[in-house]
Amino acid sequence: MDKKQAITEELPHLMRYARALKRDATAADDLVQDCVGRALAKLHLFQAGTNMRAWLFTILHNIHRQDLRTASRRIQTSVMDEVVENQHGTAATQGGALIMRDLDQAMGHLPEEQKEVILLIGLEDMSYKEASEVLEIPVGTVMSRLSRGREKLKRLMEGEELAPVLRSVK
Amino acid sequence: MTTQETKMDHLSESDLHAYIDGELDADTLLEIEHWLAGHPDDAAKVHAFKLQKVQMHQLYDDGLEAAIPEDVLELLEDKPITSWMPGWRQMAAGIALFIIGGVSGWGFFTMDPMEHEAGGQFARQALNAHVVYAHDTARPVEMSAMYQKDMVSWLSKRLGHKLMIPNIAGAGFNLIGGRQVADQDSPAALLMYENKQGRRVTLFVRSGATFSDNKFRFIAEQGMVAFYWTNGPLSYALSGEMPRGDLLDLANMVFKDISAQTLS
Repeated sequence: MDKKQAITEELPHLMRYARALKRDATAADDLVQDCVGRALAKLHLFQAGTNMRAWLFTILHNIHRQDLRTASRRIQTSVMDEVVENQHGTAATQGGALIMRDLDQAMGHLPEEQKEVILLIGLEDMSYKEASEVLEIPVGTVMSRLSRGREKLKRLMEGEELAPVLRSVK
Repeated sequence: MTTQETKMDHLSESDLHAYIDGELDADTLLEIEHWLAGHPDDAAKVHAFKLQKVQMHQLYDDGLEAAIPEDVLELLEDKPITSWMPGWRQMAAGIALFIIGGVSGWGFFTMDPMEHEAGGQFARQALNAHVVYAHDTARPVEMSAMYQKDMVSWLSKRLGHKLMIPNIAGAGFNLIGGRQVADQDSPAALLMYENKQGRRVTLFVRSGATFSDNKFRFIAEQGMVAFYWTNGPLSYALSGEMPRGDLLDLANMVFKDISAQTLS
């Protein structure tokens, strides 16, 4: 298959993943665009017959990490805003405990490295091995980040008490 | 991973997640299923983490159908677009999306993008309701099948249409009851059936025709499968955890029985 066509077929997955990672459509579009641009520039390095999706996701991740480094101050500020907002809504009844009813918000409170692993495996259905290749970390590290991330997500969603998530489905 | 010779005395975190993500060999899988059957705390954890995955899809799957930025499509085009073809650019973008939609993993028969999106949402709602309630040991239904008559009139009122209760006892599944559930924009009902082995299937019913035809559509996600379709003024999704062919047989029974009841 033509390499460009192979990239085109991965676009929906890149779009979904970028949106989940950035939680902001414009930032996600920019990330996908940078990723495709860089992939095209490096296209001669892609070996035919290997995993195009994993290759693209690795590129996307490298760009995402650079983004985070250059914008780390801005991101810290935006996380702070979010925490304040939540406390404002729930502090009175919950004694300061933050309750994340919203999965999206809870995801925003996960450490970046845990969020990546959770999304690659939970959303993109990658195997542990694929995720370890994309993130360039050992499989054992993938597993420990996954386990810690899911526990944390569960606690955030439960807000110490069980059930807001289940109830909201009804 | 757990070795085969030693009997399990606890479930490790890594095995628990590997189980959820389908990373285990058949023997270990079986061993863990055994363990979970006798350890409700661990089973609840498994359920919670599986639910995370399902909800993540619900939250983010729209991204699969998001419009690809024009700049990205342009990067991938082989030939520059010439200006003497007005509207061509938009058309090219539309066609690219159309093709991508077809290969992005959802097995839709229809190609109408509106139906495609509504259908996907419907199927995911049904799977979410299935994962939440079919595994609920405490209170899977609001109203038991013992009060079928009351249940039917209550749920029919909610739906705004007469709810038919399909009989699939021929395949070993008996109605245990039903509940009302929230759907994106219309009231919905969930009927639950169970066989002698304790396996459950759910029929999610919502008012409104999701599709303009009454073909079956299929979705598979997180170990669950569902067939969904429109029949008259209502749309249906039958979900379960079983081979696709088995569920298709059940879906055919449901479809035929409802059609027969509607005519009679």
